[in-house]
Amino acid sequence: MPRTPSPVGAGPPRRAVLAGVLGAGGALAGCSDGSGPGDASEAEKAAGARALRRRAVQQSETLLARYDSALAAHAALGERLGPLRTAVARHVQVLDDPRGQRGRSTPQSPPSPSGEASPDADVPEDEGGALAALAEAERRLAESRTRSLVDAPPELARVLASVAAAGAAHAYLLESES
Amino acid sequence: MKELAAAQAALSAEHATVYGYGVVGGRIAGERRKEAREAYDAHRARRDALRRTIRDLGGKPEPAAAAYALPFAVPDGTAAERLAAELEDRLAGVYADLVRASEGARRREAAGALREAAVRSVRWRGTGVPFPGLTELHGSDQAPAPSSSAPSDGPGSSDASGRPDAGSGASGTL
Repeated sequence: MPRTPSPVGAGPPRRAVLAGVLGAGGALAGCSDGSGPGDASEAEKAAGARALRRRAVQQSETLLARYDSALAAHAALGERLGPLRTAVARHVQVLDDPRGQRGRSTPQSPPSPSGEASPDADVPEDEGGALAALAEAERRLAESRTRSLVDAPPELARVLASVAAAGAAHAYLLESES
Repeated sequence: MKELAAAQAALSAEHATVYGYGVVGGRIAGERRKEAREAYDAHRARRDALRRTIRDLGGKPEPAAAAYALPFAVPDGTAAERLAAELEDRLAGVYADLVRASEGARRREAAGALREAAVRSVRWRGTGVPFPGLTELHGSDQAPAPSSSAPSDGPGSSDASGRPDAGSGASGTL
């Protein structure tokens, strides 16, 4: 199985996330209560949670771009990859805007996440290799999320755990026979 | 106490799942039966771990019900696989709640259990959902969909492999 160099899910956890374990449950839902001036600790927790969520969005966007690259290179995989790509697009949406307030549509174009390698160069030429590379990316991201959710406020941790579980299930589907 | 309640809910779901896999194992053959056996063992291990967690939290682990009513009739292998997937989906939900209620190593453990449930669900069903365990994000997907006909397949009618003896007394809803 070819290992791909792209660092989906790699990299050290942000220091900022050290802050948020307790009490920032509203952060995922976008509440700004309790982060007012004079409450540095709450503000730090909220900032940590925001940074964690932002990173989770970027990671899912990078993964989404990998699906798009794989689909561009292997149109025949469309039926197989389509549902998984749709799920990853939903992850981006929900992580980015949990209550759907912005009415943002599914992201269409690959983003340019901070410093992450362009996935385009990484698509293996054979379909099996492309599937294996996506499985590997899903698995690494799921592992990274499972590590980072320990530092998340409760509700964000719940969502990250679910998204990580979905990623592990995707890896299984990408590696299964049919 | 919030974590204790979430851990008890997870334990109850594991009890039901262990029972349910006993039914599943009696309805399928071959490779799938082996998978059901592995899942049965894995859920027993999760159940035992939760009992320890609950004691660590100062609680008293809830016992299993003597028997459970199945959510739909399970006359054959196809229905058994659907039941297995359903059991895993429900577990995903309680473990997602346990992730929210816990911290540190116990949270990581709960996240691992959620991940296993999601993967097993996909193995049984062949497809997944975008947010395992988060029913609020896939509403209608979670409908229990009892089979159209069918008198309920009572627990007494199962020839479950290795399930705990369902003697008498209370029954639960699976």
